[in-house]
Amino acid sequence: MSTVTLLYFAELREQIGCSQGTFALDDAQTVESLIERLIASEGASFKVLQQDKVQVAINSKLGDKASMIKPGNEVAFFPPVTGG
Amino acid sequence: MHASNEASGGEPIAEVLQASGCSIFIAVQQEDDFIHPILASDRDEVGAEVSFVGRVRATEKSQDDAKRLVALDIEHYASMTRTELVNLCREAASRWELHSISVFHRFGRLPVGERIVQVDVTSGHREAAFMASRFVMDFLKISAPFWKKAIFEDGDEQWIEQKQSDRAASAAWDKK
Repeated sequence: MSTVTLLYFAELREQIGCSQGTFALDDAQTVESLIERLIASEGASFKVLQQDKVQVAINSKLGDKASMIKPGNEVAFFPPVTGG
Repeated sequence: MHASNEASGGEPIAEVLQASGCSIFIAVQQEDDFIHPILASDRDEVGAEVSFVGRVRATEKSQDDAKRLVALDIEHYASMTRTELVNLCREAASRWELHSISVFHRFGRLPVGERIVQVDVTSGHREAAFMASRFVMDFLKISAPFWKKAIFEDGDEQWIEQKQSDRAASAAWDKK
């Protein structure tokens, strides 16, 4: 079975309760649809990913909720960055 | 499948490359022992060197009651941090005539007063070095995937939010 690797950072990592996971994905999906499937199968704590401020990177490149995810991708969710 | 896993803060990065005739050094690490490299071969041509150091401040303005910090916890997303910092330095090297850019950023628990970030730029003349160091810092603030959490004296912890002033500072470059 094909999967995607999921990463969560900062406040989202704490709210979800883990820093990474894998999720079964057999065909291309939008980020939005992946989040809906995560909530359905993993639980309501994943609803935090639906917040407007949440940013997403696919294979380390910034995307958005309409971006397509393919099996094998690394998908990272995080709040607005605060470095420097 | 999700496994509970405490964040370690991230992986260290050490990157050296050349772009537009400029040497680029990127170091992301926990330790505070970074010394920015000045190339011997460059030294005769460097007429200006600008260093910016960002440190852990004891107060956080966004706090209502201005509680005092003891430290910041910083985490980052290593593979994206590398890409973003490299792209940022390449962009600076293409905009100004520079000899070198060095970007040092730390992660982990950083006590008040310690360095968080250091950007060093060398060039033939001061204008390019001033402009490029500001450009790198302004965009690092809004594009490099680092996150800070304030650790207060009373034991409270709070994630720091991105500031409107930081978004405005990077947006202003589009008009320059």
